[in-house]
Amino acid sequence: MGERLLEVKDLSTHFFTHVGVVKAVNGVSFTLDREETIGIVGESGSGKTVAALSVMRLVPDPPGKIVAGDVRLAGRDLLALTEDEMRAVRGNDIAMIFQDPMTSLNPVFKVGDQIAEAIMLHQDKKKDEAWEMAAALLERVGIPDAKKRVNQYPFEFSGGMRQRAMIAMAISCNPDILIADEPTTALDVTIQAQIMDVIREMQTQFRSGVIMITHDLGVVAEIADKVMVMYGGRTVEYGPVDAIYYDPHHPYTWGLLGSLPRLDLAEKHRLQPIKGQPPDLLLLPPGCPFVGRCAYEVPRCRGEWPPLELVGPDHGVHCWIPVERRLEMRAGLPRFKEWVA
Amino acid sequence: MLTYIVRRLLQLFIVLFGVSIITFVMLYVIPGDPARMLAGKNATEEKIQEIRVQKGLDKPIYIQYGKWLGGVLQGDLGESYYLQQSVGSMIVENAPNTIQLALAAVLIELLGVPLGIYSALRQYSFWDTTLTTAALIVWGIPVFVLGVFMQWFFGLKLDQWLGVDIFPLTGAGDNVLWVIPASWESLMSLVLPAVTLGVIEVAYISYMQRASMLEVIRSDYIRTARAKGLSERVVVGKHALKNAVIPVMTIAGIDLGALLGGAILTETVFARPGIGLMIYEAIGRRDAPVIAGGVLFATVVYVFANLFVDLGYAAVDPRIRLEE
Repeated sequence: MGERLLEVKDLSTHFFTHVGVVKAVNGVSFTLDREETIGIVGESGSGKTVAALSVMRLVPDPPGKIVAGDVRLAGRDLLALTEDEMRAVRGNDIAMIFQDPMTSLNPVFKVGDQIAEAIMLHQDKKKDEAWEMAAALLERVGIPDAKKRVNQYPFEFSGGMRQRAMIAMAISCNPDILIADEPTTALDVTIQAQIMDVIREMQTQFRSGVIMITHDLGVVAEIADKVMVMYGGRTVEYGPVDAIYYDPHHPYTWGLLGSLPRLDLAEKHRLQPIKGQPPDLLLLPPGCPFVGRCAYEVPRCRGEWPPLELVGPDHGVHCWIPVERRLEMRAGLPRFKEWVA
Repeated sequence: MLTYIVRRLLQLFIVLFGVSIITFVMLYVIPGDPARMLAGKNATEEKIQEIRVQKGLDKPIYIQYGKWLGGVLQGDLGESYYLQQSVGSMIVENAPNTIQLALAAVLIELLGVPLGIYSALRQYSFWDTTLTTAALIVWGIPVFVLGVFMQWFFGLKLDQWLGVDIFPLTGAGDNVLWVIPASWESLMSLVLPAVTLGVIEVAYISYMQRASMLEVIRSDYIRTARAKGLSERVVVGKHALKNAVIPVMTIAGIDLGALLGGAILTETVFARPGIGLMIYEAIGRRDAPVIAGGVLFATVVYVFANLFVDLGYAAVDPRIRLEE
């Protein structure tokens, strides 16, 4: 693809609590190019959000700390920046949209104020001008009557409109990278598609790279160019979106795909849930965090984290099961034929 | 907005009516015969009966109440049994000292706002732990104990060590413009009672401010503000502060209302003329008109303070609409 925007290498973020160290993100690596979208998928507590917050250096410290790794924005080492330098990056080069638009806007300030604030901070604009830009941005993300809306408070907006306002705020400084942390999870199903459309439009207009954090594989299939599957703070598999959907190699990815409802098939099937509970991040085994829930566990899994194994172009997996065995097992899955169909 | 204020003022009358009835019933129920006390120790039964008739105390309570209410509606709060002075003029005389004390105490207690914010922003640090522990201890001291301690330490011991008299133990000085101390001595006589009241409330306010700041600082919209690249000064000073002072505003406003109605314990400990001391002394003498008038005054002030707190809310928090 195009120009490389972001390079994250072996990122580890741990939380030091009085009950122990929570390894929320454990040696995660990925890259993002201009106009590219990476989907980070995984269930709650898999470390998706913490990974994204680490890129922005917004992990609450204490108790959180980025203990290892390298985050480079267009070659610039973000982890080496001072807090002041990092602030100039936040909102300007990297912007973020959060999960819950109901609580992510400050209730006591006007929507226009909250957008204009970011513009004035990063673009050296006067107040009037910034407010005008804020109104224009609201219009751009599809809020009708934006001139009036800009003077309203968040409580006067519906959930979908608030998320549009959040997007307007995020794109206000034309960021290179837009991080969207489950931007549609808290919204009505009918609004979700609209919000995804807005994000995609903004991405095309501003030529941003997008990091889309979600647990919804449907969303990922629609919007992402490549996918990183996270589990228990680790990347278990990553690759181009087609490879993840049609040639998944990790048992956890199989599980995710198997639990996805399909409406396009004539034959009806039961959904296949992944058995068991997500791991306790305090008590992670030294090896693969998916042990215990994985139906194909081999003795080595528990004690040692498997190295990266490339199974296709830009498609990697961390799994001890030998590749031939894996393909055999996958072929035996009841729903695998449907995925590739 | 205006309709809201008018409605609240109408409610005030209902509250006053209720409070006055309760006051009257309590005066009637508590032991002690005002006529006997007024007549003195060695008075004859005839003398007592004469006073009873003269003050209208021989009538049933509802007649007494009706008579009093009739007077109040015409702006007459009656006359003290003892002092040959109208209750209205007693209130006018005593209110400035009380208002002065209340304002000074609330100004002092607002120091709790920066202290609480400081604690919250450095949660679990040495200073946070120290401040929070100190706040809990001070908050637990009864105001009369602290008052007596202040008198002993700053009023007596300090003077002995320094050889000069700085803080008077009791009393109040003259005021100009109603509530402003007219002289250095007058100001000094305000210091001990105001600090006594204020320090305990500083503890309370700082504790509450810390809690509310901690809650706000972890909220999603603060993370959004940080994600915009705002400096910590703007994040805290603009985005967090406005949200975090709302609960504390209530406490300070209601405190002010309560203190304006007379800080009975503090005014008594410091023998400081004021509404509180006036009511306290009147209770001791069963001086019913003074008690009823004083309580009425305290109620009016309290209700108004509450109204201002509510108006203040609407000014700070756009989600609160008073018309609805």
